[in-house]
Parts: sequence; C-alpha cells; structure tokens
Amino acid sequence: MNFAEPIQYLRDNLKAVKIVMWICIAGALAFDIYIKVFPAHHAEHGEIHSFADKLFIWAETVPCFWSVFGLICCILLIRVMKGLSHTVLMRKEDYYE
Amino acid sequence: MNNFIHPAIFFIFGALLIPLIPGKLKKIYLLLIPLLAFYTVLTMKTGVYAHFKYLEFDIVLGRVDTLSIVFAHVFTLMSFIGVLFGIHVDEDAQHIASYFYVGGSLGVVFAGDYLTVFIFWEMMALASTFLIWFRREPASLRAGQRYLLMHIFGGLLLLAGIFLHYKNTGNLAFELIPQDGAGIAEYLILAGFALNAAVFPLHAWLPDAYPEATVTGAVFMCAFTTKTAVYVLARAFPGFEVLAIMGTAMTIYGVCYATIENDMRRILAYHIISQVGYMVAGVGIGTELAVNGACAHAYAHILYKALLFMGAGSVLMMTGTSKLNRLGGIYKYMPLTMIFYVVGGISISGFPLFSGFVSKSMIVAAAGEHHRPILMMLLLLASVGTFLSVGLKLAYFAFFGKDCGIKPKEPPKNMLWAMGITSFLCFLIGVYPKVLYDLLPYKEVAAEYHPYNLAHLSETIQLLLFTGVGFFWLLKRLQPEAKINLDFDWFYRNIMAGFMWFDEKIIQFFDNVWGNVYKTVGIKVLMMSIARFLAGFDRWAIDGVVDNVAYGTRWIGDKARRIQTGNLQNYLALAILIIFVIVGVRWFL
Repeated sequence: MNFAEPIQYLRDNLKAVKIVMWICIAGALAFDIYIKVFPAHHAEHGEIHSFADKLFIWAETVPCFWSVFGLICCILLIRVMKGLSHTVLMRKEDYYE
Repeated sequence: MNNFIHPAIFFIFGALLIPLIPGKLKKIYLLLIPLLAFYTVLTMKTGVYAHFKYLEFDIVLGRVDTLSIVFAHVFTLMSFIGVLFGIHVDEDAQHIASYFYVGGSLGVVFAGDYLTVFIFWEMMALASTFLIWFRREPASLRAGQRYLLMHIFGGLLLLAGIFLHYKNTGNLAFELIPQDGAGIAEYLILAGFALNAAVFPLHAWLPDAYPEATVTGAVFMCAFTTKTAVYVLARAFPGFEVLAIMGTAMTIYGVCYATIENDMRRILAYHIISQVGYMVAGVGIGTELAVNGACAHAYAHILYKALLFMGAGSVLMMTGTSKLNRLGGIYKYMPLTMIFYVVGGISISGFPLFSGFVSKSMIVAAAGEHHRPILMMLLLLASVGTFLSVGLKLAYFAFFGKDCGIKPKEPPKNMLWAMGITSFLCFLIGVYPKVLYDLLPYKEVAAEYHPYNLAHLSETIQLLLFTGVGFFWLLKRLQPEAKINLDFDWFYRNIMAGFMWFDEKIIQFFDNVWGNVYKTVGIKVLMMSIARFLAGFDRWAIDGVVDNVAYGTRWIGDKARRIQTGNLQNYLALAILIIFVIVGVRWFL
C-alpha cells in the first residue's frame, strides 16, 4: 500500500481541508460557549487564596477564553522569540569553530 | 532475597557477552535481554532486597516500591524499543554502551542508598558519552567531551552533597528529604540531580550533545538521563518550592528555543527541557496528584519523545541532514515515517486520544488544585509552544513545505517497527489511560482523576486549534534559517576555551620562560660550576689526596678519640644509626 497517496489527496484538495478546519474551529467555539452558558456542574474551587485565583476562576467562566489565550500565546511566542533571535541570539552555524 | 532479580544485572552482564555471540543469534539475544528484564519488572513484588553492609555502610541495591516500579517498567520497555530501533547497527560497542546506559539507570531506580545511586549515576554518564562519540564526527567528539565534563561536574556536586549529608546525618539512606531540614548538603545533592534533569541554567549540555549523538544513541539518551533525574527528584525532593518554579521556567524556556532552532534534533532536545520541566514542576508542587502526574508524564514522555527522535533520526539517516532549511516535501518518499512522527507530535502536544492528554493534564490540574494559577497558566502557555514547535513547525518544514529535491527511501524495517510499536503505545495510553494510571505511586488519587471531562476537552481543543491558526498565519515568519542561537553553553564553551588559552598562553609562557632560564642561567651556572669543580678538584683532590691523607689520618684519629667516651648508650646509638643508614640506603637504591 502506498501511504503517500491519501496524504497527496489531502494536499491536492487543500481548499476543502481548510474549510473543514474552519468548521472544526467554529464547532469548538460553539461547544465551549454551550458548556460555559449551561454548566453541567459548578466546578469546586475550594478556598480562594489570592487575586490570581480570582482572576483565573473568572477566566474559566468566559466563553472561548482559551481560544484567545492560545492565539495570543502563539503569536507572542513567534514574534518575541524570532525578534530576540534576530537581534541577540542568532549566530552563523560555524560560530563556535 | 526471595525471587528478586535486579533487572540491571541482565544489561550489565549481558553487555559483556555481546561480542561473544555469533551472527544472527546476536540480534535475537539483544532483543531477548530487554524482554527478560521487562518480565522481571512485571513480576516484581514490593520490598527491600539485596541489603547488606559494606565497609560500615548500609548498601541497598534493590528497593522496590511503586515509585521505582513505574520507572523501571518504562525503562525496560523503552530499552526493548531502543534496541529494536538500532538492531541493524553492526558495531557491538554501540550496543554495549546502550546496555550499560540502561543498566545504570535501572541501578539508580532500585538504589536505596546514595553510594549506589552515585556509582550507577556515573555509569550512565560514561556509557551515554560513548553514544555521542560513536557518531565519529569531529563535532560529536567535541560535544561528547563537553557532555562528559558537565556530567562529571554534576557528579562532583552530587558527591560533595552526599559526603556532607553523611557527615551531618550519619547515614546514606536515599529517602525523602523534608524541605525544612534541607541545608547546603541537600541542596548540593539537589543541584547534582538538577543538572541531569537539565534544570535551567544547568541545561545547556542537553541541546549541545543530543543532536550530535548517533541516530540510535539519541533515542536512548532522550529517554534515560533526564527521566532518571526526575525519578531521583521525585524520590528525595517532592514539595521543594524551587523545583516548582524552576520546572515551570524550563517548560517555557524549552519551547522558546524550540521555536527558533533549525536542527530537527536540536528542536527536540530543547523540547525535552520543556517536557522535563512539567515533571520537575510536578515534583515541586509535591501533592499526591502532582507526583502522580510527574510519573505519568515521564512514562508517556519517554515513549513519544523516543518516537519523535526515531522519526527525526530516520530522516537524518535517510537524507543525510537534520537541518530544516535543507528539508521539505519528503512526505512523498517517507510517508510512514511522517505518520509515526505526527503521532508522536500530537501525543506530545496533548491531543485527546493520545498519551500527552492524559499525563500532562494531571500536572496542570495539580497546579490548579494547589492554588497555583500562575504556574498553571504558564504550563498551558508551554503546551501551546509544544504544539507550535514540535507538532507543527518541525513536521511542516521537514515533511511538507517546499520540495527540497532529496528523494530518500523509508528507513529499514526494524526502525519502522520500533516506531509503529511506540505509536501504538502512545495511542493505547491515550484511549485507555487505566493501563498507565494503575502503575502510578498513589493509585487511589489516580483512579479519581478523569482527564476526559467536557471542560478539559474544550480547553485543550481550543488551545490546539488556535495555535494552528497562529502558526499558519505567521508561517512566513517561521521560515527556518541556517543559523544557530546562543545559549548557556556559550559560557562553558568559553570557560573551556579560556582554560585552554590560559594553559596554552600563560602556563606555556611560564614553561618557556623557565626553559629559557634553565637554558641560559642553568647552563652558565653549570659551566661555571664545572670549571670551579675542576679547579677545586685540582687543588683539593689531586693536591689534597697527597696532603690530606696526612690531615685525614689526624682528623679521624681526633674524632675517634672523642667518640670513645666510654658511654655504652652512645656506642649503641651509633651502632643503630649506622644500621638505619645502611638499611635506608639499601631501601632507596
């Protein structure tokens, strides 16, 4: 069996794959809104110790919070680290030789 | 010692027999040993075995409890996978090195005292160095040397800690250390362990050395050194605040570098730092759930990280390069390798149904339960970076992206089988976490933990999907570049270079100066002395022989007269002195 064929098929139909991915994203968001608006049970948080605890509990109740968190973290990681690499860290491959 | 066989025995003595076994039998033998060891771990009963006294020290070679079993379980399993992956290698020495390496880590896992820990600890360091050197590239030789020096340094920290600890407490038992009672001795031990766990800033040896190891050696290395360190930390230092903070810092640090690196195996090596960070943070949080999480994550991590290293190693072996800027579009030629790599990638990223999902979340949940929301957020940030760097960036630029023109073949069958088995295990743990949770040290806590709940599923899927969105959005900015990035190895490379400079310039300078002094002054003095000696010889010896026979006879007569004091004590003392002189002269000549 040629395992490359199904992968090639997906690559040839990249547009369809993209549409399916966007539908998945929309589904995930809808699902999160659903479980935040109609929580099956209230999570037990025990004692609230600090301001950070409060903030975190608030964040957990906001629909789609983790989507925003994920996107921001991803962009920050790429921009900050690529920037740092280009300005400070990057050297030629034979730098140590 | 009822029916306990130390599994390290199989590896350490088994390694010695490898060169004696002929041809095809050798391959069967190599695979049989890990299976035997795995079987002994499965049938092991908890208890303390092989306990004896040696030079006043209590030596415990076989302390078997739930914590040691979970690590021994995955180590022996991993050794089978690693040997299968490298079975095509004909060089006996490579197999011997990996056997000793596995034997060393199993020795540490079952050790009940610090002396045994230290001995096996050093055995691991030495054996693993050979796995780097056997690649035989000039860069590997140098990287291996740095690796060995760093580990010797770590071993010395550990040894110093052990000595001080022994001096303070009078025993060498390798047990839990309470944070309140920890002094400089305990922190030295902690630092020795932390170096092996690649805790920031003692981490730079890892991304320095692992990318230079042999293809098969790297698979062993990514599994054993850091995870043995996690084991010893979980054994002695659970609940140490410094570990919770440093562990979380490691998770971020590792993914940051993984995002910008170019070499596949260096990305994965940085990523080990990040993943071990989760375990170290789990140990540092120290609750039962967190320690369970650290063990579960170590177990799952060994499998999927080995899978990733096998995938990257296969690409390196078949294409001859592991630099992302020179790769791309090879999914057409290595589809199976790609599929297995992606399974590893989504396992490490914590996709539902794969092993990372059920292990990593345990540590994150423990951070939440322990009221550490900031740690928890940072751990989640690191998991975004994990998917970004290992799941997306590496897979995209190596297997997809623009075609690099290389047309590699799939790797040999044994390598594919090893990857296939590991992929299956990653999947099995993901869909049926009970197999893993039943092994954990605190079984009741593990049984109450359910990773597949709605909130956790929703959180994970959102994080992953939007990481994907961010990746494809900024794809152009992530283009791999044929560069390297500075890290803490800059310091020790420069310290070593400085030492060499000091040696070559300063010490050599003094050596030269001394040589010159010796040559000029020394020779002059020598010549003068010889001249004087000859003149003196003429005056004193030639003339003297004649004159002094007379003088000498008078002098001896004078002295002999004085010795004869008639005091018996003096005669005896003189006689004994003469005997001493004669014996002494005889002794030295």
